Amino acid sequence: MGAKLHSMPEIPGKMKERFEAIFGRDYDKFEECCRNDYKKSFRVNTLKISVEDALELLKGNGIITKRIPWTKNGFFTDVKSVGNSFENFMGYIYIQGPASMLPAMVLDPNPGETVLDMCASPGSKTTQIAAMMKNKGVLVANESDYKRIKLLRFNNDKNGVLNSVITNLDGRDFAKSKLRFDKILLDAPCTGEGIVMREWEVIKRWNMKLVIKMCRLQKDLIASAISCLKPGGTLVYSTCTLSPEENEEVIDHALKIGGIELEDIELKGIKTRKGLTSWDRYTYNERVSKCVRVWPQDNGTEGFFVAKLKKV
Amino acid sequence: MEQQFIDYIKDRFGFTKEDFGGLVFIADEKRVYVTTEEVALEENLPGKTHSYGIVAGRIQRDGRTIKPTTNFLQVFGSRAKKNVFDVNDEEKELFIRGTCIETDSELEKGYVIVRWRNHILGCGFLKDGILQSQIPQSRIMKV
Ligand SMILES: C[S@@+](CC[C@H](N)C(=O)[O-])C[C@H]1O[C@@H](n2cnc3c(N)ncnc32)[C@H](O)[C@@H]1O
Repeated sequence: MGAKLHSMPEIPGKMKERFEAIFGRDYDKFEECCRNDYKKSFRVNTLKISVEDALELLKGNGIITKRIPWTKNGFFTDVKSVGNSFENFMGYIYIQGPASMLPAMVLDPNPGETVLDMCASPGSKTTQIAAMMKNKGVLVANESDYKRIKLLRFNNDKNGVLNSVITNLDGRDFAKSKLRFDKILLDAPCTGEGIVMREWEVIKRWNMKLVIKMCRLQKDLIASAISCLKPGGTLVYSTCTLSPEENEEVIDHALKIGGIELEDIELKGIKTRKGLTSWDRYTYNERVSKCVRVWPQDNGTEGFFVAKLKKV
Repeated sequence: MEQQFIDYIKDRFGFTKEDFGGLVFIADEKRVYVTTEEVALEENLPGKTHSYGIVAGRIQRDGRTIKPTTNFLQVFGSRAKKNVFDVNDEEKELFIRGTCIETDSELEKGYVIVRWRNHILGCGFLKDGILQSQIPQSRIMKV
């Protein structure tokens, strides 16, 4: 992150109170980080170009890049207009937040597998998963909001995603589907607290009722996801929010449903925090500490939460 | 419509069957998609399937012509054997911004694959000495 400050609106009282409870002494660093300018980042779309060729092309066009330490294909750049570059026009790169690349990496999809991206639009992770699958196997990209499918379609087209089918279902209805998956990404709808620094809308929309509403939906979605995993299959649950109700509480709920185990997540090159085992009046299953919290102030990224579950 | 599209692109660009090995074309009322056999053969896909793979062609208002998409050509265009229109550095900048280019090219009238160096930029339409960029507004480079 650069040092330039931008004028983010005040974080409202209740939200701030909760952030202070989550971050403790680190709260000031969090707020400072929110007000700092952030570096642009992108992922090379290996469905269309090799990393080497993309970097050479970018360099030729004056776009200096630095690899995001925890990724293979992700890069930072100081060039703000990278979104309007030739490389982006060609679909050689995909503009994506540096922490947003983590869930698909943790999912680790392989060519030939049957994979579900349950809440897919606009497709940052669908396109990343397809690239990891090398366009082989079956990738179901689902989005419940018909209006948002256009964006998903656009990105799959632009990025050359051939091995995918787009479906327009409520994720909760997948439980009825006959298809069973090797891997599922549930990048759930959430209050988006981890991206306040990029989208101030998050502040305007935020209230406790929304947190609770999201929590209920997320619990239903994770139950549905678990039911359509193959035995031994992997489910990655992720959000770009910080509220324990939308994160650890959902995983705690999943563990109560049973038939799944939480797995360790190994990430190199990024500072992460353990999942919280208690919050407010609640205590969660000790195992939720295996989940990973990515805090903005630790790495200069968006905030993220990632959990990895295996069906037994 | 699928077969009509395949016949058209084979004829127009000299593609062969092998260029689309392991792939399947699927049409709905408006578009022709190209996807993998694995996806097309999956029997248990949930209901409410919206679309497949990438949009390869758009069925035009006349109901007969199918326009190949820039996205399709960017992926497969390098395998074409004819009707490839090479642009220079200056023309490339115009083309990707959706601007027409005057030309004395002798290629046949109709859709062409526009190439700059070894990069397939997308779909153009050649007529009366003008190359019209067919890149959709949502996809062009902003000025
Ligand atoms: C966090 S966004 C997904 C971002 C996406 N995975 C990406 O990386 O580009 C959550 C998405 O879930 C969709 N959604 C909301 N409720 C849903 C439901 N019940 N079933 C499926 N999708 C839902 C939203 O419309 C939104 O597009």
